[in-house]
Amino acid sequence: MARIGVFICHCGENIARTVDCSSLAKAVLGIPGVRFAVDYKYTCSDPGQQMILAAIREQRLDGIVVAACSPSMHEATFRKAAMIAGLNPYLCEVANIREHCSWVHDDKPAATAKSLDLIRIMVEKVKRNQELKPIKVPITRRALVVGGGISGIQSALDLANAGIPVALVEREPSIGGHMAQLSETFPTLDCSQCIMTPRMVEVAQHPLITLHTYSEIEKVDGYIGNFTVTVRKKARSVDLKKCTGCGTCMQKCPQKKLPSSFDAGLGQRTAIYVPFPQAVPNKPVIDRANCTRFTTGRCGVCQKVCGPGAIDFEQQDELVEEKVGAVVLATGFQLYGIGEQSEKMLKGYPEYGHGHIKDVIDGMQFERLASASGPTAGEIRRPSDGTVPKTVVFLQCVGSRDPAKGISYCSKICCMYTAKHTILYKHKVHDGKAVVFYMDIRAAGKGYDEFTRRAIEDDGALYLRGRVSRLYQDGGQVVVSGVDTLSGRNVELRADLVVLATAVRPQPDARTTAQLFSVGYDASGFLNEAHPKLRPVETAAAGVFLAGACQAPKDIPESVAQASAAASKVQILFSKSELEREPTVARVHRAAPPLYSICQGCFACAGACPYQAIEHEELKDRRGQVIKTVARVNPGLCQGCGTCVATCRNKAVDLDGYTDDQVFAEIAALGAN
Amino acid sequence: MTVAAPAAADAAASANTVFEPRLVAFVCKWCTYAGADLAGTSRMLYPPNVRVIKLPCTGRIDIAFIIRAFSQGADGVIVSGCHPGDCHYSAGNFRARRRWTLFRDLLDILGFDLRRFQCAWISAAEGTKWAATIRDFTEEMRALGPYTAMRQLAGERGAPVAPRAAVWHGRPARREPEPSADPATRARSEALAGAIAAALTDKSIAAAVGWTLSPTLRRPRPLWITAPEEADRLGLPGDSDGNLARLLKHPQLTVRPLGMVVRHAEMQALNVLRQESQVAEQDVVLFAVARDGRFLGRLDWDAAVAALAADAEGRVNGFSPEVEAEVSRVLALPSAERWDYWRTQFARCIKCYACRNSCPMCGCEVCLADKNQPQWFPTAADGPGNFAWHVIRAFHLAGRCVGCGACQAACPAGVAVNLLGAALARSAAGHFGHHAGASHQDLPLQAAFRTDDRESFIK
Repeated sequence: MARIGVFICHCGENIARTVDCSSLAKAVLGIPGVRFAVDYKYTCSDPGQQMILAAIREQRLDGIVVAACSPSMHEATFRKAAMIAGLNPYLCEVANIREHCSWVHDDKPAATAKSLDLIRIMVEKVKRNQELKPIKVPITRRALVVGGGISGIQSALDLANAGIPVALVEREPSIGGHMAQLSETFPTLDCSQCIMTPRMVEVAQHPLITLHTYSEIEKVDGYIGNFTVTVRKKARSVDLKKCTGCGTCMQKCPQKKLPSSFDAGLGQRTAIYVPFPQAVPNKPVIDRANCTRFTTGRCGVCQKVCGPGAIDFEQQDELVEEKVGAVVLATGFQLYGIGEQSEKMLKGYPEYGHGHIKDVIDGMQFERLASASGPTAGEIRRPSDGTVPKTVVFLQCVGSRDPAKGISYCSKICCMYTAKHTILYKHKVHDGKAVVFYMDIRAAGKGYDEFTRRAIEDDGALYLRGRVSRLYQDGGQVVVSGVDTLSGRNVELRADLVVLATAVRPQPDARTTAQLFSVGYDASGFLNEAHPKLRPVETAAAGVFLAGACQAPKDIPESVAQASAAASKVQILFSKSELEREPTVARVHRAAPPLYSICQGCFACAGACPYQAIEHEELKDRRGQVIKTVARVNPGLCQGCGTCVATCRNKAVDLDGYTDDQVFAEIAALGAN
Repeated sequence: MTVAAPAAADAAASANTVFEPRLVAFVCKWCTYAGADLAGTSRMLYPPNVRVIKLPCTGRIDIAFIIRAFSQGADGVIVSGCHPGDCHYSAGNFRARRRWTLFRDLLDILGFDLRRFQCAWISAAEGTKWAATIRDFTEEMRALGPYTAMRQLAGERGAPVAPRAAVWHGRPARREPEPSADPATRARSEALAGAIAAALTDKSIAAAVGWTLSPTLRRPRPLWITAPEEADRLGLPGDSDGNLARLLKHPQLTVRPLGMVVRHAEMQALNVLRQESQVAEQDVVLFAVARDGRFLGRLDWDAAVAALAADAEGRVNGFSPEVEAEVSRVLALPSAERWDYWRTQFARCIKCYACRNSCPMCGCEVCLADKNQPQWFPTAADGPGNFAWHVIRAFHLAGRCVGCGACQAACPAGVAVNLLGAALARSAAGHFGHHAGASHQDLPLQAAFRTDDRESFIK
């Protein structure tokens, strides 16, 4: 017979006001199996907990129910008290008679009777509770960072500096991401490459960082603490071990007129190329789609001129397995409409003529024009004829905050970088005129509002609040037809150059990434955090963390902060040698002789499991013959939702902590009349 | 067991006018439980009639819990969890939603008052919605009065077995012609027997199962053969209601590869069994026989499915037109009459489990009905026991029952077990475009989901 103790909390007056606690304590003694019942003013207080401890020991209780506030408040407190008294913490349950009873009812007899029912439910449950032990999962103390932009670099360096080996995967030939493309950064106007490239080099030289550039994630297996990630290292056609990065191949390559994606299509590169001079690794890659050798079979100049013989036309993609305990996703973003020249047309904005009018460019292209390493060596010259534009019009919110065009969110960085563009422009073209069309100026951040004010007040940018309806070519200029809503007048300007602050969007394959790692994503395709406020870097998949703009539009400081946060979350995870998990996970029936299961092996559970936690296990007889293949729950992957249990027809699977037996007992406890 | 008077009863006694319903809520701990907590912290008053049972996810809610709550005296049951897309476990509630759709359709044909079973999405932020939902539900159940139908089932047993002529078999009574009577039939069964004998001779099958005419029943019955010379005992299946696929589930009959005479119904059943890893393609060698008795040849899996597809003509979701007509007739009855119809039906059941044993899909080594820890159904062959058995059996076959009618033919008491399967097959096809046994590659109906599955019934 069970020996259950029930502790009824008054919660000061919170419960006692509407529940008659002392008569409840007497009534509870009538429930079969209840050996001890007491009511107390504040059960969660230290004396309250001491009372629980004493009762467990003196009454030799084998289960307790605390009737008090919601389990989300103090379940952990009471379970800890139970544990100190030598009782397994999972033999303690909380009956919620405050939030679910005393606070929502005003009829004292009715609330008291309901409390008795709620306690009876929990007594029946706790009688059937099993002693559970936290599941221990070993941890592979090695991390994977996906994406080599500033967020990925920051996470990788933080982790490596903490002594954790890191594999960093980047799909482009070089790490650096978008930040390496920028000219200067707001609000300090420090040169992006000057602060970025030392970090890139640090990554390359760090003994604990394994760098996989020009590589993509092929497959993800395993679970928190024990992932096996298959990385596809795309054929670079250059042997990185032999290549010295001398650059002769690039000088001799006859195919010189390919658009450089690093220069946002404004510059040109060869078919064998390094994306930019500070690339890490600073070794070339052959663009097979455009290399004459690969398209026609003739050529091979690079191979002939390469001293160390590093060019390998036969190189194949290579699959590398990385065993890691945690993953940081830092896959970044794309700009609305970014891509090759032919795809430049902004879908939904034909009226802006992007892709047709040469002097309508996007923000990233302006960055490249302003960058000392860019195609114009930092001089602002417009793409059509190379002249210095005297009037530049900047349009903000192109794509952003426009549900009619499919994006309702604010891209967050455009207000700031447009202000930066006007300042950079005015610093380079002193007699130039910068006009900005904006919806609102959103400059929340340290030094940000001062920065936009500086653009307007010190550098004389003209800010017009309103939208532009149309851009069209007229002679050598672009006519900007818009409205200034503050003065209520239509505005028509003749611009030499128009810069569109296009929306920040998720990477085109963000959903694939999300599915690979079982991470959620929102309606736009940004990866979802586990909780928008309290768990901003964790994801629904345990052991997978987020950093940077893959989660939402972010500027550099925010991306770096989140990247460091993700790195420290990984360190917290790795601070123990074994991982402890809640033991309320599903379990498939096993029994003697010598190993048997009633599981039929239909694997309906596997179809229903949101976590791919169901594995196949072969049951064999003594001669090693397979009797049948049955399901097995991987406790490392199982999160304990119990969907498999409701799906299983003969209940070969059950959920610890919420077993069928317990639930039926809880229902039966209600069958009072 | 000492039993305190429920709050509701107390209140009713004092007021002596208002009926106080007992409501049970099965909620997920992440959204609705937390939403109810929020109603508490916000001090929103609502009637004290509801008892909450906390589960990790709506995906955990077994329909047996709901049935049990009603049979234990609940006047209303509400199930609630996170809104679609918000599930803490990412997709548990999508599975729950499918299950609720099917379960409601099942309750509907049983003549159960659906107002007593409510579904809702209530998030952790929707304390107001929780309070309002409970308020409304309590009001509605007060107006509806106590739920007694399920409790009245108690003690109902042993209704007279219908006279043989009145037993519902889902089709007109008929006799098989003797195989020798018709030379064409004879030629056909010889072609079949020849093919099977050849396969046994070249050892491409270890045994074969087909049909022979039972001299006593004067109907085809299954026949196992292991030697070529036995093949001349094989006849044609006719339109026998048995389904040979059920023999694959027998734990002792492990002979593989097994030659099998398959008709459309067997092939559909094999598709489902293959979906569920109960049979592999190499385990069976198929000898297809069309409805009109033509032997279509020894065919591989996909060819057999294609060759037999024409036999589905005239049947609805695999069920015969007679069964379909009966389902429509029952569904057209007022709900109280539907309930009475089933009460009479279930009262006849003697719990012999012939329906289970004849079914090609009911293949669990240990059936839920045979488990007692916990006790899933009342074991007695009385009202509550029979109700729980037939409802849960039908639900386990949802999206799997191919409508072969084997259970119907096997039932000695003439309970219309087939109708529940047909009603659920309609539901599966109508709401989810799912046709049991259409292909061996389909996902199980209750494990799969679509984010846009219907949910108009969920508050």
